Amino acid sequence: MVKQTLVALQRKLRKGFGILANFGFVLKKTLVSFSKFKSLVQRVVNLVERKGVLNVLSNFAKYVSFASRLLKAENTFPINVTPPVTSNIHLDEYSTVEPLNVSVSVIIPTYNAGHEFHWLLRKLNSQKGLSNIQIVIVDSGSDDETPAMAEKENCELVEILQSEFSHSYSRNIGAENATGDYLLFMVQDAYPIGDYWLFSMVNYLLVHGKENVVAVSCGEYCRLDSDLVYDCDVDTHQKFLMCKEEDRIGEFWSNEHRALRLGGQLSDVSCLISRQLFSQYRYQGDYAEDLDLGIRLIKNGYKIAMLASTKTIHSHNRPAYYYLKRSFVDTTHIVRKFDDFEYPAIKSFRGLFVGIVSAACGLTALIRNFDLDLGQKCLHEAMLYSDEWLGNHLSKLDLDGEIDLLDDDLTRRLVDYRQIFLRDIGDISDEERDGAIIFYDEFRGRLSHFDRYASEIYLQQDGSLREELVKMFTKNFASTVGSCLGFLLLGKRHLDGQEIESVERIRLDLQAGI
Amino acid sequence: MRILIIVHQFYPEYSGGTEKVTFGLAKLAQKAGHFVRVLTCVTGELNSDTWEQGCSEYLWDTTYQGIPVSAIRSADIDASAEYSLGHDVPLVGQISQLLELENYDVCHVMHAMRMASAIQAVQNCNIPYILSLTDFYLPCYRINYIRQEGNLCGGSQGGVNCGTKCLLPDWRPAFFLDRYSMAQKIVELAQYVVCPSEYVAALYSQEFPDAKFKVVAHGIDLSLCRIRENDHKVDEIVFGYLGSIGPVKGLEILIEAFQQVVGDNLRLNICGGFVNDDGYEKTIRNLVSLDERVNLLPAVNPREVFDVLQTFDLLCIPSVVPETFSLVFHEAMAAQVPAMVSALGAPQYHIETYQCGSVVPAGDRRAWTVALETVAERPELLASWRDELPLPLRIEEEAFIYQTLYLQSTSQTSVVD
Repeated sequence: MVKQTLVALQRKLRKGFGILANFGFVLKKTLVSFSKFKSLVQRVVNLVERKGVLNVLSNFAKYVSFASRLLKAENTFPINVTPPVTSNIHLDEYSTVEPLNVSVSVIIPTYNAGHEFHWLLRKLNSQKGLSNIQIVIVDSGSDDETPAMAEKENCELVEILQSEFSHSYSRNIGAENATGDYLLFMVQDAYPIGDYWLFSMVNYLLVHGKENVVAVSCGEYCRLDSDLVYDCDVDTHQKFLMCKEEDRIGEFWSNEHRALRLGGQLSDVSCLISRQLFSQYRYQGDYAEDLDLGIRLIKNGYKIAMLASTKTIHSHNRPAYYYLKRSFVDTTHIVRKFDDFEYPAIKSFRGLFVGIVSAACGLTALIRNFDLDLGQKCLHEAMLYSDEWLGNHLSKLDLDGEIDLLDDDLTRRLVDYRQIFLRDIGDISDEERDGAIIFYDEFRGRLSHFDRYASEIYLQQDGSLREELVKMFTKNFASTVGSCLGFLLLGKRHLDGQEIESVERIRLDLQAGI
Repeated sequence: MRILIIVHQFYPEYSGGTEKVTFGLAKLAQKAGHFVRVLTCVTGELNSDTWEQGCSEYLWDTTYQGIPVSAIRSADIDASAEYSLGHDVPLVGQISQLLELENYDVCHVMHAMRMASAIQAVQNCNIPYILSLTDFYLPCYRINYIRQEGNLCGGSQGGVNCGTKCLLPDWRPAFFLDRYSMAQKIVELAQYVVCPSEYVAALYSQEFPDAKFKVVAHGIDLSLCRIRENDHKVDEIVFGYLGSIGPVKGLEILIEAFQQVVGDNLRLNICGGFVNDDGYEKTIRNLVSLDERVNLLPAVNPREVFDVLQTFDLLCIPSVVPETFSLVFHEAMAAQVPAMVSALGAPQYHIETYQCGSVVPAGDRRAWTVALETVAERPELLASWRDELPLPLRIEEEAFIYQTLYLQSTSQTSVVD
């Protein structure tokens, strides 16, 4: 009862009642602007909005402790990171150096690795400059040629049941079967650059060992067939990690989540660590096991490195629906991993689906007329046009339009969502409109970010770029749906019983296969 | 980074090996977050549906698969630009405008033919550049080191040999001395000079002894590659030729040699388009019609190359001019297809290094017959060669190596300073 009253009051304060609302707004702004701990106050305000006043009051002790950690983190972020280092050694110049008396075990979990796996194994076996290379394949029930390819290339084959697979378990069991001085964890669809790729990683660890660097990963280098969204994600990630063009050493700076991710990010696309040290840590958890390992290492005083001087060829060109699932899983896991990770509070279950379905109808219309309306513009103009178009579309909130986002799985899910969750919707309430606005804002934010990235690279469109851009719209839309559904799940205390049940069903559906 | 790639011809007008490599490098640089423009030359008519006026009178713009392309028209430059390295002052000025307008960090010269004015503009604007040597155009205006009388050239000797062995009417020997000096300047002012094979690097080292050459092989798009799985028929051997069909490729020698080899279980599949030489086309078509075991197939697009290679047991490269790299040779290696090649150029070096095929004297019909007969009589050779085939470089590896060179170029002081 009290809770409902407070929530209603809060909503009224935000939505109307002229002076009162303005007073609340001004007070909030004043607090935020003039506080010595501006950022902390902003976070507390956001926390109250997200969790609710009652929740914050009832967990006061927990949040005080949390706030003190935040405060500490605020004082240490932005971080004075170790300056990135430019490597002056060119790949082919390693051919003149003495080979290292070091053995490396490469551990690759596999499942139906596909025909390109053959190239990876051959490339690993032809790496130079090391005394011995062992390849350990941990296969979880492939029914293609993967095990045969592994045996043909003299790999150590460890077979596990598909039901036993987890990212941590498969890698840990691979490590148990490894004999090398160092372990290199890889993925089945990655590919080394050059014949001294492995040597250069080992060499980096040896050279920087005296600085306490104990693990090293390479940045990703996109394949020719990667999609625009993946290219953009890699660019964003490497800029955040400050390893786009220069090698960077990470360490523990604070418990703030950005500091932990910046300092502790390792990548299982390629991650090298000594076998001895790994045996003390091993991988843990069923998600982001590489980040988890990196954070545990830096918290214990070690340093780790992300390399730009050598990279690993790796990227994807996934269908839009995969982006939805991936984004949902990433969002829910990453938010749960860090207490201070902020995300938008979605309080209206139906409002979110109003936003998703309406934007899906709008996007269907937008891409249907893409060639005519956007295709003749340069990329940046097309992005500005689409942003304005979506802004106008938001004011209409079309729930009955056709949905066809050129991906059957995605389209089917969206049509189902409309059928199941919006079947009997009448007038759209203010709260529902707020939920829809959150979705539109998130989607437009993603598109705006893509625009900043891509308009530096692409100018006028042609048929090929138009096709790529249409896919980019659907994939970014799908990612937005995934992350917003993740936010909905994380903030499910705002929902009623039936809604929570629905969100749980969505969770099971979206987590499958990721 | 902002990168300008300079190449003598490009898609959509041309689609040869250099264009394919240039496209791959440009596309991958885009994917790595860099702005890339290709500056090229159009030799035919400009289609107004494709091209629009660029930032100056002589420049025309289009987009090819997302890559911004600017072109000069060959009609707007001196006809001598095909073989000369001299520049055109007004054109240099207009290209300099483009360079200043778009603020390039680095240029990559993939081929200098028709593009000397562009290279001069890059030098004038003090933009560091990488030079790739895809053939012998810089020391040899004939491109392939084959002299007018048809013999292999031993080197330009600073242009002296060109002036004596390859002089055309109305040309003066001094022209070639100047041309050599210009080529030398282009090589010397480059931050890095890159050759696709040791063979090319060795010959260029003779021509320009003070320059340093890096060897970076052209990469293959492995994502398109499929390997034929253990279904090589024991009762049939398919010899194959894949590429453009013109006199320098020596196809008539291969066909005539094949016709001398007895065996109903032998096939020679020829896949490619004819270059503009009606007489040669007629010769080839006549030869093909004389032997029903020889099949002439139409040219394929780059995405279909591996489909064709999968049908071959042995790739034949009977060129009578030195091959500087041979993309199809490396694509065949990726597809686990060994090769029989002329003893001229980079493929020969590769096969002798890895023992993964057969090398035959160039242009020697009898030797080609013997070599084909040897394979027909001992088909087990094919399997043993397949086992020795090395892994070719991926296009992404090549692109990353160039990216490293671009970065290192921009971090170094320009040699022009």
